[in-house]
Formats: sequence, structure tokens, C-alpha cells
Amino acid sequence: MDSQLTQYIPILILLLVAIGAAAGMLIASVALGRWANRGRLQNRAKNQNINTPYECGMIAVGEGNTRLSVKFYLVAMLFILFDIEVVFMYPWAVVYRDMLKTNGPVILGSMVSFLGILFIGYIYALKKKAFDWKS
Amino acid sequence: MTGQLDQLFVSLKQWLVSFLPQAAQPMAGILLSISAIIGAFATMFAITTIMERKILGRIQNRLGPNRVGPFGLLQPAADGIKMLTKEDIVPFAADKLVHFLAPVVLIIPVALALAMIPYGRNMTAVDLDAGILFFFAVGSATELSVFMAGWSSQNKYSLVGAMRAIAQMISYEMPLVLSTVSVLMMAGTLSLPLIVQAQSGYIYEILPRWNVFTPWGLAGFVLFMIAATAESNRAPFDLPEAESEIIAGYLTEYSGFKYALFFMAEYWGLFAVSGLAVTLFLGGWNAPFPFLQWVPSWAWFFAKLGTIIFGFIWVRGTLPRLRLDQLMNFAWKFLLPMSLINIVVTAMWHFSRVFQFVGAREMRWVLCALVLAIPYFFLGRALGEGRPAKRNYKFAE
Amino acid sequence: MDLAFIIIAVLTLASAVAAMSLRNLVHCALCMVMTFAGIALTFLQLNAEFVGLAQLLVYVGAVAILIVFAILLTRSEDAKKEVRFVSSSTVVGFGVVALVAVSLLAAIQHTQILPPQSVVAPHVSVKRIGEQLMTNYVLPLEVIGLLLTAAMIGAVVIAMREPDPADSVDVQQRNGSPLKLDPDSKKTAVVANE
Repeated sequence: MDSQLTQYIPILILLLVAIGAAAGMLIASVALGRWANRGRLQNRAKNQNINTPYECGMIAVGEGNTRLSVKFYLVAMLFILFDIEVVFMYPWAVVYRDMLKTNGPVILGSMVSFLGILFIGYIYALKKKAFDWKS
Repeated sequence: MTGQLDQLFVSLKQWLVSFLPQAAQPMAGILLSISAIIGAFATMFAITTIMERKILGRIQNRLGPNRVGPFGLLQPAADGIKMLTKEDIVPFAADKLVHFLAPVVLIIPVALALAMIPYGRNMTAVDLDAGILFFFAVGSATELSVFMAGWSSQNKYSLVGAMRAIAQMISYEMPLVLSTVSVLMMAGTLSLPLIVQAQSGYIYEILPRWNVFTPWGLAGFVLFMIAATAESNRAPFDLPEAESEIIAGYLTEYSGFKYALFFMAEYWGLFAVSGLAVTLFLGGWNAPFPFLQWVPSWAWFFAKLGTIIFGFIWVRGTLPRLRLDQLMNFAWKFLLPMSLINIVVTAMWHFSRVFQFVGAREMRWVLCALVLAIPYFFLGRALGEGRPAKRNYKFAE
Repeated sequence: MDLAFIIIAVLTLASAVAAMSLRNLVHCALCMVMTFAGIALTFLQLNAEFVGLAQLLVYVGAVAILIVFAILLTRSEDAKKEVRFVSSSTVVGFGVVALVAVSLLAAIQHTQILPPQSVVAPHVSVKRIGEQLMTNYVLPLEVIGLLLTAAMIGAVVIAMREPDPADSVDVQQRNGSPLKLDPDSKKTAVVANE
């Protein structure tokens, strides 16, 4: 372990602690729940309805997972694109102030044109009513 | 004395660790900070739930919980015991493993995000170079957990709720992340403690140098808080969990402590994102005035955090829930362009720093505020559905 | 070889194998997310902090959601149907795999093997990346902008082809017939708004 990875050791420990705590609490609660409801659970064979999906007291019709509107897919797609944009924007933002002194026009121009190109796509999506959910 | 109070927890940790052998000390220090964070925020979760119910009760002109303990203050403990002893119900059709893993997966990113925040001077549990990027990178795993919960329940309400939640979270993550870019431009770093440091000091020896007191900082703060409300699924953006429509959405099939874990993770997420807002815009642990610097830094941080959380509760008590199309319109047609404009304004702000004539500082303040205000006005106008038609009440006269 | 790398590599490969072999599509997707996270860890382990976190942000945060939405968009009946092993898609798939493999191998073949003393990679800060991005790599940045715009327009074109696929079903459901999932219906059954 030579590397930068050492600064992630606290994160690793926190990860393990969080997983352990969450899973431990869940298992404890399942066990305690069994114990606290032991009287009721013995009669469980008579009453299986408790484990059916809860749909407002009606018996559920059809499968649980239904198909979605294509709008969700579109939103996810646009999200990826803007996410990637952000990934390029972060390094730019970090150096912005330093580079303003040395070559200001380049740093301003490059990001403005990058954003401008993306903005064309955004306007197109807007005009195509990709963001309108009221159908 | 003030310095000692300020570094109280740091020196306490060092004192405790010093009992251990040399080799075990760093590990013990890490473990101690982690357990301190988890303990502090578990307590804070309990306090926040009771305060939220009390404040909501006050807003709605009722008493709120007042039976358990003095003034109902022990209500969280009673709730905890109740949750622990509930029967754990898993639907027949459910995907058992994924159903179990979903709350665990949710608690991990929020716990990791909480460790990033600088709580006071020298009080950052995990100090990464790219702290804020890490915050958002792990934060993006929450959407996955919501999906796991909704899908594995094999319930239509759960699935619809989860899909709504994910669509909402990904739509509002963009303004959330983009509004931080302007702060990064100011600080020139991704490390959260350094961002706090960049906001220390005072203008004219009295006004704090917090980001929120600049035009772009104010706009960024407002955008960030709106997006944060939506990210943590709180009212008025709580339609993934709308009890009256889709019976708590992806939480429908969760009972007992799994539900409690979801609940806790949601509040921890709220604390984390509020803590990030404090760090980025409200000067972190810096005191608002130079003469108040004797108050310990961590006290300032938690005071600011508490204020923000009170704001969240107030908003929840005041605003009605949005419709899905309003929600999406708001994110994509208003917040996203506004946050991009805010970045441009920030660039302008730095660009105009070179002007040195008399009143230049005031000039650029007004100029930047105007550049923000004009699109705000027009985008807001375009977003509105026009003036509502006058209603005629046939039967209610 | 250090221990961290072995653990990460085994985890990544195991989840990748699981993603290929599991029957349930959603399980496959979740395993795929594990693979993405493993790759991000590999980057972190190689001292590429920014790339690793960006990988986490983009793949675990966004691409995983896209995959999941795509799975839920398709019919669950299709997934249960027995898939013929040799079909046009298999052939095309193998073709693409072969192409990628050949180009990767060629790239590896042409890489100079680094001398072993430079095993400890220099710490590349986000600042350095930003400087490089703004000086030597401005043009690629703009090209990426174009690519993203093309992808955005493509997504809109594909998804918004029909004016309103959900409308007719929506009306039908409102006019009395109980909410029933018709397996033959080509329309979306869940109308998410309102």
C-alpha cells in the first residue's frame, strides 16, 4: 500500500462499520420482531394475506413490475449527458481563477463554447417537448 | 481558554488515543472519529424527528407528541423500541435478497458523505483532495438503493414510487452539482476544508466573506437548497413518498427496522446535504462576526446546520406538494438554465475583479445581480401556467 | 502485485461473470453496477483519483439508472422467452467484441512497456487535469461537447418518435375498464404522471 489509496483507509473502515451496523440492526430487528410477535406467528398458517403486496386492501392484479413510460428513459439519458458535462466542468472550475491571470480569453472562451454547443442540444430537446410530462 | 474549547473534541480524541500503543494509534483515531460521527448523527436524527413533529404540530395548530417523557421528548426512544420489535414482513413475491440489501445500500453513501464534511477547525474525519467530487460520487448510489427497494417489493405502488423518486433525483442532481461549480471557481479546489478556509476573513473587518453574500453565491445557495430539498425527497418535493397517492412509494412494503433504516438514512442524507450547503455557501465553521470568534467553531457549524434543518421543516409545514409535470418542468426548464447562468455570472464576477475605479465593487455587485435577475424573471414567467381562471364555486356559496 | 489490487480485481471479475450469467435481468444490472464500482476502485488504486470518482459518478450514478430504466421499458415476457443461441444479434455481437478486442490488443501491442521504477504513479491532482484540459486539450473538449450534443439529439429523436404513446391507454383506463395488465398491449401500462 504505497499509494494514495492510504487516504481511503478511513473510508473503507467507515464502509465496513456502516454495513456492519446496518446489517446487524436489521438482523437484530428481525429476530426481535419474531420474538415479540411469537404468539401471532404461530397462527400464521391461517393468515397468509399479510405477505401479499399491499395495494390498498385490494388483491393485487397482474405482475408487480409493469412497463414504464419512455419519458423516464429520456430523462436518464439527458442526465448522463449533463453528468459528463459536469465531470469536465469540475477541473475547469478549479483552475479558472489561476488561469484567468495568464490566459483569460482561452479559459473563458473554451468553456463558453463547450456550454454553447451543449446548449444547442438542450434547446432542441426543449423545442421537441422532451421535458413536458403533461401528456 | 477559547482555543481549548474550540479544539475540545480534537484534544479529547488525542488524549484517548494516547493510551494505546504507537502502532494502533492512527487506526484507533479513525475508528474514534467514525463512531463520533455515527453517534452524533444518530442522536441528531432522534432530536430532529421529535423537533419536526413538534414544529409541524405548532404550524398546524396542534400539540404534537407530548405523552412520552417530559414534553414528549422521549418519543424517539419509544419509536425506536416499537420499530425494533415489529414483525419483519417481506411480501411473497419479493426478491428477498435485494429487499434486504436496499436499506443497507442506502445507509452506506450517506454515512460516507457525512464523513466528508468539516465540522470545525481540524475536525474533518476524512480529508480528501477531491472531497466534493467524492460526496457526489457516493451520493449517486442512493438512487440505486431506491430502485432496489422499489423493484424488489414487486408492488406497483413501490415501483411507481421508485421510478418517480429516481426521475426526480436525477433531474435535481444536475442543478445541485452545477450550483457548486461556482463555489469551486471561487476557491480553486475540490477539498471541503480548503473551501471553508477560502471563506474565512472579513471585508472591512466586519462583514463575513461567505459565498452567500455575493450575487452568484446567493443564487447558488437558493438553487442548491431547492435541489437539496428535492434530492432528499422532502416536501414540497415528496411525491415519491406521497402517502395519499401511492402509499409511501418505495417504502410501501417495508416494515419494522428496515423502514426505520430508510427513515434514518433519509435524514442523514438531509444532514449531509445541509452540511455541504453550510460548507459551501455559509462559510462552514467560520463565525459571522469577528467579535463572535470566541464561540467554538463546531458550535457555529451545528448552529448553521440546525437553522437550515429548521428551514426544511418550515417549508414542509408551509408548501403543498407539486405535481409530477410541475416538478420536471421546474428542474429542466428553470433550475438547470439558471444554474448554468449562475456559472457564467461567477465567471463575470471574477473577470471584473480587475476593474479598480471608484465604486467598482458596488458596480459589479449590481451588474451581476441584474444578469441573474433578468433570466430569473423571464424563465419564471415562462414556467408559470398563466394566471388561473377565476373559479366559480357552485355549491360552496 | 499488491493485495488491494487482487481483491479489487477478483471482485470486479466475479461481478462481471455474475452479470453475464444470472437469469434475472435486474440482478444482472445490479451486478453490472458492482463491476462499474470495481473499475472505479481500480482507478483509485492506480492513483487516478479524479478518473475513479468520475467513473463512480457517471457509471454508478447515471449509466446504471439508464440500464435499469431500459430493462423496465422492455417487456418482462421477452426476457422469459428462450433465446436462440445463434441469431443475427449474436453474430453482430461477436463481431463487435472481436473488433474491440483487436483494437485493444493493437493498442496494448504498441504501448511501450514502462520501466519498473516508475511504478509509483505521480499524484495527478484535479488542478493538473484542469490545466491540461484548458491548454493542450481544448479541441478534444469541444469535440466531446459536439458528441454529447449529438447524443442528446439522438436520445430525443429516438424517445420522442411517437407523439404520445401513452395517451390512448390512459384514456382507456380512465373510461372504466379496470386496471389490468394486458400482455399483448404494446402500450405502456403505467402512466406515470398525475
